Amino acid sequence: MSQVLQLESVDAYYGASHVLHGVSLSVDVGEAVVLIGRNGAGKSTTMRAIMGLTGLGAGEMSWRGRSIKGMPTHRIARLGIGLVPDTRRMFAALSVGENLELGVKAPAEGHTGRVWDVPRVLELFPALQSLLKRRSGALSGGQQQMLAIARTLVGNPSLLLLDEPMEGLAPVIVEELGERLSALRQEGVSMLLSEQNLTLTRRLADRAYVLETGYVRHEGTLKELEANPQAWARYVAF
Amino acid sequence: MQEPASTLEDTRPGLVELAVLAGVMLVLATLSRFLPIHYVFLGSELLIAILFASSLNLLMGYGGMLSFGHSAYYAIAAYTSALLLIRLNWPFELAMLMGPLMAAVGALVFGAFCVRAAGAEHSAFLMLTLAFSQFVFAGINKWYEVTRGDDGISGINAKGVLADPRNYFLFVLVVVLASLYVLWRIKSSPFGVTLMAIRDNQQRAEFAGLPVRRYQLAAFVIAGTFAGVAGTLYAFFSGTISPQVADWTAAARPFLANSMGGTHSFWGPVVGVLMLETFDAQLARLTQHSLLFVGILSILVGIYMPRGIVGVIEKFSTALRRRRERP
Repeated sequence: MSQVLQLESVDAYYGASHVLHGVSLSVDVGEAVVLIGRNGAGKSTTMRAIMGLTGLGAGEMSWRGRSIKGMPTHRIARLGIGLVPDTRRMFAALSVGENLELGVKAPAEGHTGRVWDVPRVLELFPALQSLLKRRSGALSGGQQQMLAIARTLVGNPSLLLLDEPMEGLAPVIVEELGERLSALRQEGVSMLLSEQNLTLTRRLADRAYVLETGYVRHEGTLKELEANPQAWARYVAF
Repeated sequence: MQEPASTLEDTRPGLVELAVLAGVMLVLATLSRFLPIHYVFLGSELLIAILFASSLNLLMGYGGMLSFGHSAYYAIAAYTSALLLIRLNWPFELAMLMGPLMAAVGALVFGAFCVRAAGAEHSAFLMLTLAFSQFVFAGINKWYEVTRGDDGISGINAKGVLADPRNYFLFVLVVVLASLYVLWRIKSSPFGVTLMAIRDNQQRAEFAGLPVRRYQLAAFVIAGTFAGVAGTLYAFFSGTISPQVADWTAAARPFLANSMGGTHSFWGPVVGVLMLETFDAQLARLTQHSLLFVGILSILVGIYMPRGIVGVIEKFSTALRRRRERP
């Protein structure tokens, strides 16, 4: 098995409160995995923990077999993990073009697939082309989300962490962004996403982990989950 | 890997900007030849204060790091130059060069601690920078054998052509404008843009893979170095320095000037210094506590014009342009 990311019994804390309890999960090369769970289940915390933004307790976290626990955030990013957080605030004072330039990184060791640069990313998100000189603080929500993903992509991540990428976006934008993400998936970019939009989840993801109050309650393919009406009703249909 | 096409704007100054700069320099230089000497002194002092405030603005405005101890690097440079000249009889040119260099070293050492506290919570960084500047102040004040403590050091004079105050003004003019030009290039460079990104959202810059602390430290050292240039210029301008150059009120001046002028603009410190010094000079005739009133004024500016005077001017000019563009 060729895992890129592995979490083993990870505990995470926000100050004194214990937020993740022994979370284990893995993402394979080229795989798309979804985290399912209600608000507060620990999906964002899991992603922040992977980026080294949340204090970790017990447990082990590794990237291509190498421990990344306790590593500073910018070094984790340079290994090839790109986070698109749920708050999509940009570097508001900078233009769209400057935001993109800031994200540019050469692919890290072990990167497979396509190499991204600004012109290629603009092919994927043509809507950004005409906005390059615009101050990013003045963009609409959908445009900001595209920029957030585009900026992460020019960093050539081998794994994209997408925290609720569709939240608060208009249906037509959701549709378009979904297509873009599917296209990325075809390119072989691994993804770990949290999403409450099931149509999108079904289209993108291979496997799912169900989180509840910081515990992994269920894991398996989406098909298995759908075939289990009890689990489906309890964790997904809300 | 092929260099990707850049989407950044070309920020190199055009012929117009350079012509304006040369024009300003020419006018000031000409004026300095025949204006009463009192104005020449005032001109040197203002130019030095402008450089000091502009160096701080790289931290405050572009880096989002509110330093209340920038006088430390100004003072380190002033004392380094003075001591090398007076105590060790170094040639004044070398003593001048060593000032900013030692300020850079000081900024590197103190900055390494300070930037660890840089972030959304400004107070920790502010207190740490203040603490280090007080450390420098105490060092100068107490180490009498070397620094002559409260007595200060006098006789800091340039030799040769620069001994003449009118010529020294020209020297200050050239050094300050050249330094401002370098600072302007720095803030428009990819480094400057990155610094602004870190200011806007430090955590996001981190997970974009940027070594945030290293950028902040680099900014701290650059700002300290140019504060050092101002400090050394001041030592030779004034001829006499005392520990007061390191005191917290000396750190407050560029801070207040920037807040008044506007930290989000490159020209904010220039406007701020001119305002502050004019205001202060007028008040000083009436009261000993002029800085107190300057403080009150800057609080009012902070509340009613959070982007400073330049911010207000920009707002009006944008509104005016919009109105003109409207059919």
